[in-house]
Amino acid sequence: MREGWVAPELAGELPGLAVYWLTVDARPGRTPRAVRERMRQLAGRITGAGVVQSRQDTVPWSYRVLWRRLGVDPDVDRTPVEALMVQRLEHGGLPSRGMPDDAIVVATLETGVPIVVADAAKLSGSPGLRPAAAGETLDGPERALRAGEVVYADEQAPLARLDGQVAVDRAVGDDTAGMVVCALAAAAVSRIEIDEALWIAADMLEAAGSLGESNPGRTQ
Amino acid sequence: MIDVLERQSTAPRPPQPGTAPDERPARRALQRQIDRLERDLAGLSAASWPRKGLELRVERPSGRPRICDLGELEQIRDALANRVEIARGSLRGRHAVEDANRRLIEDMLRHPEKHRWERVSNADIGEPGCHHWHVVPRWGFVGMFANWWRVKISSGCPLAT
Repeated sequence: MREGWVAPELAGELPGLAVYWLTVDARPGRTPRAVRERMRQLAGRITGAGVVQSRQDTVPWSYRVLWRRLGVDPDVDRTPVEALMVQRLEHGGLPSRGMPDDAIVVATLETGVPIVVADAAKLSGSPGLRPAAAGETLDGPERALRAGEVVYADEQAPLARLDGQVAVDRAVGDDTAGMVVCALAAAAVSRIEIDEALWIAADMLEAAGSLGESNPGRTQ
Repeated sequence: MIDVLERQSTAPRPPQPGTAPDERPARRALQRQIDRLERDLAGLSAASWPRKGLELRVERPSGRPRICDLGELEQIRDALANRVEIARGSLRGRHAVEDANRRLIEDMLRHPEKHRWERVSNADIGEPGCHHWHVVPRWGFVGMFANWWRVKISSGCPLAT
């Protein structure tokens, strides 16, 4: 696991903000039955009272605070873990959308840490966090970024929004052979939780990607 | 001469014209306040469960994640403080009403004839579930005419259809 870079103006403003990442040799595909079962069990543990109570727990609270400090209302544009929990309550379950989406769901719900997955071959250098420059977009004019919007980026261009929307030209596709898994760290979120989130996602991606693959592996 | 030098070294420095004041201490203080208020709001949110109608949403437009300037951080802090204050007041008001309803249930059980047809539900005392306490006459019309009343406690939520 490696630590990504954070633009100095962001690091100065938000101490503790970080991105950790690792790469996994895995392909996208159907979600294995064991992961679907894990999602079913996770969905069964989420209740309305639990969602409300979870805001007092350190990890979900830390991301709510991060959202607030960045000028985002977490009750309108929810943090990834809250968005998943509310989605579960509204739809009565966690529908499987295949890998890597399901790995993100499980890792995020288990730990509360936001996860983003992109195609490793389409990244230039290591991922990090920075404010977007004027005129930058995720995928063209319809997904234009506001100047100053804090985004995941590689050393060339924006990679994803903080809410997890990945640029289409960097997203995992049919030709993907390796993935970069990024975890967003906020102040007060311990390294153990970040490690756990990344390893949960990586293990599931590896297991799913190795179905039919001869030499799966993970590089650090 | 020594006295003059010492006086010069201890005198406060006048602000340099054209230099921006260092905002960092103010920003740190505002961020700490936002953290604490968000913690308070989370606590109120949990304490208000399962009550309905308590507004806990902060009235401030949400934007894209960015480094907020000092003015924006102040607005966020103020909006949060305002919401926490209102939510605390609303919750205190609810608690007072719920306490009164609990006392009413006790009195209904002791003197049902004084509370004819009164009905108190779990929601009225801030509890989850569908129980309700209802003062009804014993044996229908006979109880009504003979002034025989009792509290009927419902057994729970209706079955889903």
